[in-house]
Amino acid sequence: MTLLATVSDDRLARKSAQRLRWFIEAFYRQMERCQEETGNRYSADRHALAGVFAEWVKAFGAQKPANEEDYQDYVGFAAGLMLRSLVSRNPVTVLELPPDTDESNPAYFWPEGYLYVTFCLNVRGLVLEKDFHSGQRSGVALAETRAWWSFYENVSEDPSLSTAFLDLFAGDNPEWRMPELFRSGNAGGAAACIEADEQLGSSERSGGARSTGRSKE
Amino acid sequence: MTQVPFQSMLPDFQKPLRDAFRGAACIADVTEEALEPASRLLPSPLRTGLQGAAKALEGASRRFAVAPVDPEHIHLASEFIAGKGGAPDACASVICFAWELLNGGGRHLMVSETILSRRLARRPAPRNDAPALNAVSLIRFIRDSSAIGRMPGVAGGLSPREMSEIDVILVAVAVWLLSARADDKVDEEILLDLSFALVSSLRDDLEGISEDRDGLAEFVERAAAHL
Repeated sequence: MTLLATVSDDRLARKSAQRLRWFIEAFYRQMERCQEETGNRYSADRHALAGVFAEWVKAFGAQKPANEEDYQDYVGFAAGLMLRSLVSRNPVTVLELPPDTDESNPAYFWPEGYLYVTFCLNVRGLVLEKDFHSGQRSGVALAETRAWWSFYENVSEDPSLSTAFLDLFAGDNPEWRMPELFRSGNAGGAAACIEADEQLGSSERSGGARSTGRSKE
Repeated sequence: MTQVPFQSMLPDFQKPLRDAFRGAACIADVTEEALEPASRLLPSPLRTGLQGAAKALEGASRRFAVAPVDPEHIHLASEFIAGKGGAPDACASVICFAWELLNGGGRHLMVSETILSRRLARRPAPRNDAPALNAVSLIRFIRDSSAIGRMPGVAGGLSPREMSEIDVILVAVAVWLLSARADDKVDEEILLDLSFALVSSLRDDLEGISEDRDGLAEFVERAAAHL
């Protein structure tokens, strides 16, 4: 899972990501890379991607924190909002999968979702690295079929849960209740990551995301 | 005696010629549509032949109707729309180029490059407004001029949907021209298409502010920054 569109050194990555031309170029690059790595063949609608971007920019601006200290936390939240728009508008079509794919692999279980998640994680990682000199971990959930089942089922019903799931995949502490609301100081550490993995298992008890363990239909 | 260059003694016939091709494309399209009910009564080979002829005329006309613009024209047009320079001819050509590229007005409306160029040349000098405010003044000036409308001879006024379509295209062109320039013409065309897609996605926001000069300028400025 690698990428992506680059940013010029004299420009903040988060500023580049707020431009449609960069978003489109980065998405197509991610799609190409994903095709090479998985053998899946995708097609993306440029106008639909512009619709995703327009929706995301509005959502991004609506909760942008005034306090500069919150900017780093907001990166993860903003990436989650992007995932929400991608999931709900679904601008990508899968043209072809390689023969005899293993559906327990997330890239074949939900190919569009896999592309959206990898794109959002990579943009998130790029901004954190370039603008905040901070690395991004991969959450253990990213490789877990159970987490992807839960992700697919939950966001199909409620795309707003995308922000929480992206945190989970990134190894941060997901906010399952009212995930569409940005909270200051939300970024988690290693402990939060462990807690998040536990949360996925007990999410039915906590009233958060459902973890059904059923295959998508 | 200073000799006047031969070329400048000739009237500019390229713009009217392109307008004529735009008209021909509209005629072909409208004629095909008008004859559609009757053409069902014709034998199949004749019907196919007529449709083919109309499509060929339309296609050829549209190709000749596209104003030949290059990155320098686009640069001049972006200066003009921002109120920083005086190149109304280039701006008119670029707007017509964009109109054709975006298939403005769903084929039944046309823009006259000749009229647009004349109107822009006679427009009062900008008032030193911010670029987005100047762009909005220009959009309204063009919208209120007779440069865009139905082809002469085609009955009916503009419907609210068509007016809204014209607004979206003019705003998309303004957003494109006010954004950072691309490296070459191909990228400029992609950028124009993206601008149209962006503005179309925000159409609901646009409809509430189309008569509000400051609100529209803010919209254009923000959209250009995000493009």
